[in-house]
Amino acid sequence: MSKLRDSVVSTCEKKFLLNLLKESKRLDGRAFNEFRDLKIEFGKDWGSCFVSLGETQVLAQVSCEIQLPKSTRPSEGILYINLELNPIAAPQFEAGRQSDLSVQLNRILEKCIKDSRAVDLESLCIKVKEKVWALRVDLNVLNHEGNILDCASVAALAALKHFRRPDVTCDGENIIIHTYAQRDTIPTVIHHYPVCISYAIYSNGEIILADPSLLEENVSEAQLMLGLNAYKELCGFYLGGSASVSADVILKVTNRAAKRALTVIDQLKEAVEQDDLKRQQNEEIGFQHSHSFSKDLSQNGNKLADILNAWRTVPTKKKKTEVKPEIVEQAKVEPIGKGNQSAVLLPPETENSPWNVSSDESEETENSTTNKTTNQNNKQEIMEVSSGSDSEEDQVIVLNAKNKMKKTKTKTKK
Amino acid sequence: MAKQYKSLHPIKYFRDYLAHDIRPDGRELTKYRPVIINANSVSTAEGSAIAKVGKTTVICGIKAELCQPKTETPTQGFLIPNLELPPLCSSKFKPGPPSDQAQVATKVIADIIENSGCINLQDLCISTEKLAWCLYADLVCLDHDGSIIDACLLALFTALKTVSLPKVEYNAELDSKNLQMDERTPFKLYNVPVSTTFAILDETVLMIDPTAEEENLCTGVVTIVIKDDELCSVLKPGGSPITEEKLVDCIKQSMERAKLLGKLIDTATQETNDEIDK
Amino acid sequence: MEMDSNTDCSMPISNFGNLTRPDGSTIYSQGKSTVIAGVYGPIDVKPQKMLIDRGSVETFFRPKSGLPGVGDRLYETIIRNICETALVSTLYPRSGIQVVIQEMQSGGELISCSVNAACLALLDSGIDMKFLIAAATCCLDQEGYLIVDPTELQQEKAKATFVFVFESSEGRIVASHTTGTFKLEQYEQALDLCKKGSAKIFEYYRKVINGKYNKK
Repeated sequence: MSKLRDSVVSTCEKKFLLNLLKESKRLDGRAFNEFRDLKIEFGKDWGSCFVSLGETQVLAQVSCEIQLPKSTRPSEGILYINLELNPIAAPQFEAGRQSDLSVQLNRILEKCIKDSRAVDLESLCIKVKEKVWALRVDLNVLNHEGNILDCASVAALAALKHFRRPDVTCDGENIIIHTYAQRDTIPTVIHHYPVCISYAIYSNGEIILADPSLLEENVSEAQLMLGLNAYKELCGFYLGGSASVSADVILKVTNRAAKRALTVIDQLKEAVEQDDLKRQQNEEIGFQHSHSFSKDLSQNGNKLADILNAWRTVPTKKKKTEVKPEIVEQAKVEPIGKGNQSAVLLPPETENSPWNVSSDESEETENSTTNKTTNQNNKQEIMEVSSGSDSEEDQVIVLNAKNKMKKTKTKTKK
Repeated sequence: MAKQYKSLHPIKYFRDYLAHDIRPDGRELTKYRPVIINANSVSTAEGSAIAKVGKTTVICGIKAELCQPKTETPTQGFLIPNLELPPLCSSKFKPGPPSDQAQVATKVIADIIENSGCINLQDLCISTEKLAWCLYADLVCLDHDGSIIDACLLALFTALKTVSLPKVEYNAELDSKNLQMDERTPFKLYNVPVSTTFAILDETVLMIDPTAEEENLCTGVVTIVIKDDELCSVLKPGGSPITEEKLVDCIKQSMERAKLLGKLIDTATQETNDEIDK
Repeated sequence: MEMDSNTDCSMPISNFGNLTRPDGSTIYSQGKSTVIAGVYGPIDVKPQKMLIDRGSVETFFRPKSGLPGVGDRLYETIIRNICETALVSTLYPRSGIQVVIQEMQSGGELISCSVNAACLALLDSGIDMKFLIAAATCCLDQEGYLIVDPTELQQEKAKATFVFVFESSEGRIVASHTTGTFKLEQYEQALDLCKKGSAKIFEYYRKVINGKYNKK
């Protein structure tokens, strides 16, 4: 009946997961290099953004205020980033109290976004030494299913990009703030988008998992968090835990992460553009139109039983419509439906994944022609997922979770 | 014997009284406790008062400070109420940062000030965007024996009625201000909201002006704030459900009492204002 | 006094189980306001908060920006008292029930929205309840008309706003919160209107719960 507040990982759970990893499998069926689905939605207010990475969910809201600038930097605005581990996300989180985890995450986000000077602070200055805009990004974690950081960093950047501050005019002494209705609002200038990409490390760097889930995070020996922008520049780096990892592995992972960062940033920009378009066309906006309301119940459970059920029961029809637009050279970002104000990232697909070794031939021929070029491009940057794996496995790129289900289904049929 | 019975079965003890339509302190269900207020109790404050509702005692002191108005509201001053519930007033409270109860009561009081429109914050502005008065209304509870909001409002508004602010000569160009302590103008209060609290037991029994003991044993409270002939707030923060008729009955009772409380504040402040005139 | 013609009640929308961690959760939207509510319970509780005869109810109301202030404490207290009344907490001695509400978008009637979301989340979690609760908001505009389910703008301009929470068994009032000033007759009228509004919410509860269990 009652459950403990702290999530304790039992030894058998831990062993099970580690054994599974040795067989090059993950509990949720993803490839080692595969990230969960990223979804970005915007609310009706400026700078209000909801991001989900798999089942991990973060809500971001940017607010602004006029303040006195810091005396050391009199011509610069101020940016605050505050990540809150909301008690809704996990029962062990306490409201209004800083835990070790929240301090750590806040600091990494600060380093990544604030210290990399992603936001143009000088444009936030109204009057030197007297009045500057202070932007505050509040990040509320709503559901903790592992990898809060990636989700939060995307939420923070998307919210900052989406945010508009009111216009101000200065007539000599007085400063007049124009409301949103009076004058056009001003977007924030963002130089680059440093997103965080996280990995979990096992057996001294032999196994490296992208976008670890909660259990994978708890069992991992070490965590690697990389802040990267679209220009492949490293903006933040954190390696914690007990595993000793060689420098080569880190470099390979970083290369891999840079690719991922690019797709994430594309998706982020696309989502903001979509929202802008909707606002221009005076379409109804806001979370009340969010697709969270139309989500099917059976897909929400992240429990093993639910996943196993879904393996068998996902209808084939639905998948085909989602697979088609994916047969392009790069991973693709696209909106979900019409008027949903949200977009989904569909990762690139290859025929060499361990999941479709025995897939039916019609699939193969359909994909192989278009994907060959992708494979060749990717070959150099593929990281070694595990030393024990054969060359076939090394070519695993990212595979859409839904495809996988379909393919395993065909497998079971045979 | 009664003492042991009370400590062993507090609820049963309480119900035995109510079965005879009388409360443990000898009051009937619709009878409130005596109310005493004293104005100008603290000579160092700009305005002050003590209010006693039965044993519940609240002291209010109002300090005025000069400050700069907010950029968003350049023509307004400030009135900031703050209620403190120190360990002194009841064993329920521990020393340290303000308890949830104190924060909630402070918010309720601030809401009442805003809702009633009893003060005009623009009266507190001296020079637009440059200088304004900030009134800090500090309420300290000395003895907590129920109906704390009622006592707080009485103390707060009696104190506000006695506030007089010194005249300020402000030169915007030189940014120099000159206070004339002798030339004081009284602070204008547009109306005086007063409140009455009821406790609910078993969804049927209603008690006016409950003591702390009654509040603890009961399953809910209702606070009704009245200004002149209008309602200013009907706050029932959860607790036992009651029917509409009961609620309307409460409102009618509190309206009657409000008239008397209004008179009480007037009488108390009249005397002190007369003294100043002499 | 006439009733305003603008009384069309936009039906709320909601979905259960969006969050995987809490025992019960719901995303709920009413008008332009959206909140997410999660319930944990029964869980273990800190010794200083433990009650030996019943479960202790904790509520958190999180604004979307800034730290929770004094105003949010008031909401928290109101919602906690309401939940305490609705729950059969004597069934869960020495344990805790945690109700967390996160504001996602504010467009008027945020308190009503939060209370209704809390009720749905409690239903989803399967914790025993005495009765259901539903909140409705209405406001009094400057001309003295009453508006049901006001928008944010209407609420800002209103002379007074009323929030009532009703219970489902006999329709009695569980909570009342008002702002602004008003007459007794106006209060009674508002009470009547909100009662009708709450009936719609109860109907809606029935519909979504039916939908939830018939699907499986």
